[in-house]
Amino acid sequence: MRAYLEFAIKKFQNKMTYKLDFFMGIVNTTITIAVYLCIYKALYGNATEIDGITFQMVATNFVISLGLSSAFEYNEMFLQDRVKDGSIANEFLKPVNFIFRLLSENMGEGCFKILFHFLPATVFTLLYARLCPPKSWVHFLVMLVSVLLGYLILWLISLIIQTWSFWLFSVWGIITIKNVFVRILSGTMLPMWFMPEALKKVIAFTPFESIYFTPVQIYLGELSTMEILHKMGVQLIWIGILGCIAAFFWKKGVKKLVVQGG
Amino acid sequence: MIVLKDICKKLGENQVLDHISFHISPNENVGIIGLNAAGKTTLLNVIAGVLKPDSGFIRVGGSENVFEDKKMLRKLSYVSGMRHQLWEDLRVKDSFENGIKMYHLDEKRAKVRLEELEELFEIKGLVHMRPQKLSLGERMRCELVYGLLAEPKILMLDEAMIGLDVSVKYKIMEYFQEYRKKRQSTILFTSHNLMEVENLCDRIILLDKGTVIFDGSVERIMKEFAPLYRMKMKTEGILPDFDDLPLEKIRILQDGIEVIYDQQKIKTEQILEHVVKKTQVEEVKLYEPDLEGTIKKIYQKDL
Repeated sequence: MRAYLEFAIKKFQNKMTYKLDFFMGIVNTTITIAVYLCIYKALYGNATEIDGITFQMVATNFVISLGLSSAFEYNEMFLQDRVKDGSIANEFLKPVNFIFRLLSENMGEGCFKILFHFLPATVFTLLYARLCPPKSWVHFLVMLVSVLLGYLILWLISLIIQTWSFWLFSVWGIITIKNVFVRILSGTMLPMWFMPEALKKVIAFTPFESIYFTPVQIYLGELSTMEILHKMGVQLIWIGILGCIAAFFWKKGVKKLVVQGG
Repeated sequence: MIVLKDICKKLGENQVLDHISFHISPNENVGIIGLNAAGKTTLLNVIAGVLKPDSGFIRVGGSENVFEDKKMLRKLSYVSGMRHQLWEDLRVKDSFENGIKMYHLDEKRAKVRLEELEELFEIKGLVHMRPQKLSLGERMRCELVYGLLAEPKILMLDEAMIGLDVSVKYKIMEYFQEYRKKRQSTILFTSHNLMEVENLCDRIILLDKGTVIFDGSVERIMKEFAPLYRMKMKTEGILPDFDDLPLEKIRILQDGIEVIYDQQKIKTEQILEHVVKKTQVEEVKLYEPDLEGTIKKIYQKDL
């Protein structure tokens, strides 16, 4: 456990040394949020709410979902690069679980970005836009747990695609398509409230809603206690399902590597 | 420590390892030699568990599945000149600190040891840099320190001296000899530089097309495959008669004589004694067979 914590800390500290990346991250997140808020401000015009959704709620949705999505970005080509140059075999010689090591490092990077990209960008956004406060401190804390679960869902989706590098020449294209799907279907481009009912029904059967929209709903207090438990239960189920799929591909891929030599 | 029995491995259409069997005891330094694509790296990968043999039996330090055995992995270190272990995006010192936690090392002791290794491998000024900023030689020195940090019982070095300066290289090889004695460790070493192998190893496994064509001590390989010595003597006066000596070849030179002989049949001193009795010897040059030449001969004969 100490080793995994160390991996996360080292990644966190490492990110701090890239000063330009540090400032660009804040600028990038702030601009992305600002662009979306401008578009929706124009769409709202003088209206105070659309379908019961206020501009403040939309702005809060964008700050949480866009801010977190940029904080949750990491090098998704890591596994492919290692498989391609053969160094993956050496990675396996490290006496730790490779998947948990990867997760620790990515989480270390995510924590850095939340603290130093997401939070400053949120403060900048507050200078020109009003955001909804959390329904209560309890809602806020529960949202943090839900954000962690959402991160795991997103991470597992990415891991599944990354494991395909054992068979495919490049997974870059698939990762790009996956990112487009995540952006659209998780409500980071069009808030889930405004999606057509039919599409919402389809999305309900996918893990995408659980990534950002569940934390947003918990934060805004849109869900009753039972609904929160239900939605977080759904998040856990998706983690279980995606974890099993990722484990299946991972085991098959590793077997291919140790049997066929890559 | 390491037991391989009838190990076969096919990669694609190539039979890379073909019924390989040997046993390596603790405290043995073994050089694995072979031409390109002889199966050296594949053999190390099989021993390290990152490649599964198609058939045969393998046991490394009591474990039959090193790949899954984290305890065993903590006792094994694999330093390769081609594939690296350090974290690419972290500073070298961060990789070392990760290693300390990963190998469950006592922090105080590990830091003292790290200091010593940094001094010996001359990397003190490099530890704050990232591996991609280092030259090949600098990087390999850091990789070696990382590999030695956990004091492995099995140390596998695959072309690990690549890019190193001669002075550093010999200092490091001396350290490996000491390390083996102190830790009773096993070192497996592959290199294209046979001088390094000769210096470091007391046993050689010679591979050709996936099979072991020789397994024994450096002395034995020389005896079996290169027993012929050459001696040039600058003489003055009448040359003696060599008919009674079991020499392989005699060549009369302008200022002396050259003899080629098998040390198993006749010793150098005996020849010299014979010559000195009859004539005055002004200069003697002795050409011993070297490992590189011997191995070259073995392959040339075989191929």
